[in-house]
Amino acid sequence: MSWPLFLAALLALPLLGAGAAFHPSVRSAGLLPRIAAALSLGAVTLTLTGVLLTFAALPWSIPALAAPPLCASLALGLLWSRRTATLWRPYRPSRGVALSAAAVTAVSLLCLLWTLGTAGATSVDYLYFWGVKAARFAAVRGIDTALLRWMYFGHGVPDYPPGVSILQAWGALAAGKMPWRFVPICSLLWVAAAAPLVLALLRLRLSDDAATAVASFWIAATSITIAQSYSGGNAEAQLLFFETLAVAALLTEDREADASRFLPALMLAGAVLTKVEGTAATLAIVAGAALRDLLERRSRILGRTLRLALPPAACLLTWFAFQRHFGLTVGYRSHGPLFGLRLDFVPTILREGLRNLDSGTAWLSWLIPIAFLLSARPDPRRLLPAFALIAGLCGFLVFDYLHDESDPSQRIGWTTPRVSQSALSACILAAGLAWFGQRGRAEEISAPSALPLP
Amino acid sequence: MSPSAGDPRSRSVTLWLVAAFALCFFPIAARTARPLDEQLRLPVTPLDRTDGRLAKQWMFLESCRPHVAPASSLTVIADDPDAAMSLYMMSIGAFPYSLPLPSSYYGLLTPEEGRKAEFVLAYRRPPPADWPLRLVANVEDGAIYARVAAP
Repeated sequence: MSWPLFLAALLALPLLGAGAAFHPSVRSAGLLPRIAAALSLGAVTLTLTGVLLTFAALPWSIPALAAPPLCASLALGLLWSRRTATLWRPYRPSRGVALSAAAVTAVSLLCLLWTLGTAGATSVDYLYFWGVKAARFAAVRGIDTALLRWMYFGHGVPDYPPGVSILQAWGALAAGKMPWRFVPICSLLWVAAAAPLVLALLRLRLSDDAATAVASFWIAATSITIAQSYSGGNAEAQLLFFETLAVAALLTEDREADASRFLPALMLAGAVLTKVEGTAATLAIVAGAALRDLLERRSRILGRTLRLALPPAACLLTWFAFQRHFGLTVGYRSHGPLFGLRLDFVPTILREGLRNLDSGTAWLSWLIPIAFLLSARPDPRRLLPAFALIAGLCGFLVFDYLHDESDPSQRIGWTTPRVSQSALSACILAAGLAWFGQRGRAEEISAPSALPLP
Repeated sequence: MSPSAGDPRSRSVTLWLVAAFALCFFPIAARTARPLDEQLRLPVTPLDRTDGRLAKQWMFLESCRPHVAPASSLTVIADDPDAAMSLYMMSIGAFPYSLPLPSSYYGLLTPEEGRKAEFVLAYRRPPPADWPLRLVANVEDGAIYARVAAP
C-alpha cells in the first residue's frame, strides 16, 4: 500500500513551509488559514529545490528535497515571528449560517471525494504526462531532462513548468512508487486547503456571516467544477488554489503603501510554477492590481507592483534558466505564428466557449455571482484584480483557439471547463465583495476583521 | 455581531447560502442518477468512470508489468493508431524504470524505433510476423513477447 505514504508526503508540505504561518499577515488568522499559507510556501520551495538539485546534478531524496525548504522556513519563521502581526477578530458567525456553511462544505467535499475516489473525474492528461513525468522524475531521482528533450515525448508538453510533477514525484519518492489510483483524489486537498484562507481573507472586508456565505458558495462551485472538468490528478486544482488566493489577498488588502504583499506574491509564484496558464493569469492579476492602485491613487505603486511581480518572475526565470542549461527549448511554445489568427473561428469559439462554461451546474455557478455583481453595481476599480484575471484568462483562451489549424470545437470542449475555473473563482469573490461590500459597509467600518496591534 | 433575522444583511446572507445549497443539488443528482452499488464499486484503474476505452488500455499495461524486466526497453503495438498512441503515452509512466519506444507516433509508423525494443506488448493484435519474438505471457486483451537474439 503506497497511498498512505504518498498522502503523508503531501500532508507534510505545510511543515516544509511552516514559516509562512508566522508571517505577520496571517499569524493571527487561525490554524487552518495558516496551514494553507504554509502549504503554499512548502509547495513553492519544494518545487524550486527540485529544480535546483537537478541543476546541481544532485539526486533527489526525501532528506535532500526537504532540507532546504525546512531551513528556509525556519529562518523566515524566526524572522517574521518577531514582527508585529495583524490582529484578526475571533470568528463568530451566527449559528444558522455556520451550520448551513458546514452542510454545504461537507456535501461539496464528499461529492468531490466520491467522484475522484471512484475514478469518475480523472484527467486523461494525468496518465498522458502529468503523472508520467512524476513517475519518471521519481525513478531517476531528478527532473528527467533526457525525457523532456526526447523527440518522442513531444506530447508530454516538456516546456510546462514542473510544479505539479515535482510535488507528485515527492509523494512517489516517499511511497516508493506512484499510487496511480490515489493521486487524483489528492486534487481535493487543494480545494479543501484553500477554503479556510478564502474565508479568512473575505473576513478582512466582510462580516463573518457574509464571508461564510460567500466562501460556502465558492467551495460548492469549485468542488463541482473540479469534478465536472475531469481535473483529478492534473494541475487544475493546484492552479485554482494559487490563483484564487492571490486574487482574494489582493481584493481584500489594505490601501496603505506598506501593506504586505507577501501572500499574493507567494501565490503567484506558485501559479507560475504550476502551469503555463499560471503565467498568463499572473500577468493579468499583476496588471489588474497595478491599474487598481493607479486609479485609486494609492501611493508607491511601482514598489507595490514590484513586490507582487518579482517573486513569480524569479520563479519563472529559474525554470527558463533550467531549460536553457539542459538544452531544452526555452520559454513556452505557441500553437502557431503569433498573429496567424483564424478569425473565421470567432463564432465557433464564442458558441462553444459559452456552452462549455456550464461548470456542472447549468451555468448557475456563473450566473448567480454575475447577477449579484450586476445588481450591486460596485465601483469596478476596487475589483480590478479579479476582473483582470477573468478577462485575461478568457482573452488568453480565445487567442489560443484562434491559432488552431482546424475547427477548435473539440479542444474547446477539453480545455475551457478546466482553464476557466480560476476565472469562475475570481467572479465569485468579486461578486461577494461587491454585494456585501455595498450592503454591509456600515458594519464593515464599525467592525473590521483585522486590526493592527497597537 | 451578527445581524438579526429580519435585517436586510441577514436576508442577503441567506440568499447566498440558498444559492450554495442550490449548487449542491447538481452533484447529488448526479450521484442518485445511477444505481448505488454500481457507484460504490471500487475502481480498478484511475480511469474506470472517466474513459472506459483508456481504462482497458491501462489495465492491459498493468497486466503486462510483472512480465517485463525492469530497466528494459519495450514497445506497444495496437489494433488501431489511436490506441497505439495512447498506450505509448501511458506506458512511459506505467513502466518508469523501462524505456518505452514508439512503434508509431501520432499515427506515423516508427518501426525502426519499435524494432529496438526488448519486449513487445501486443494489444488486441499479433506482432509483425518478421519480428523475431517469443511469447512470454498472454494477458487480457493481448500478449507480451520478448525479442529473440539473432543467432
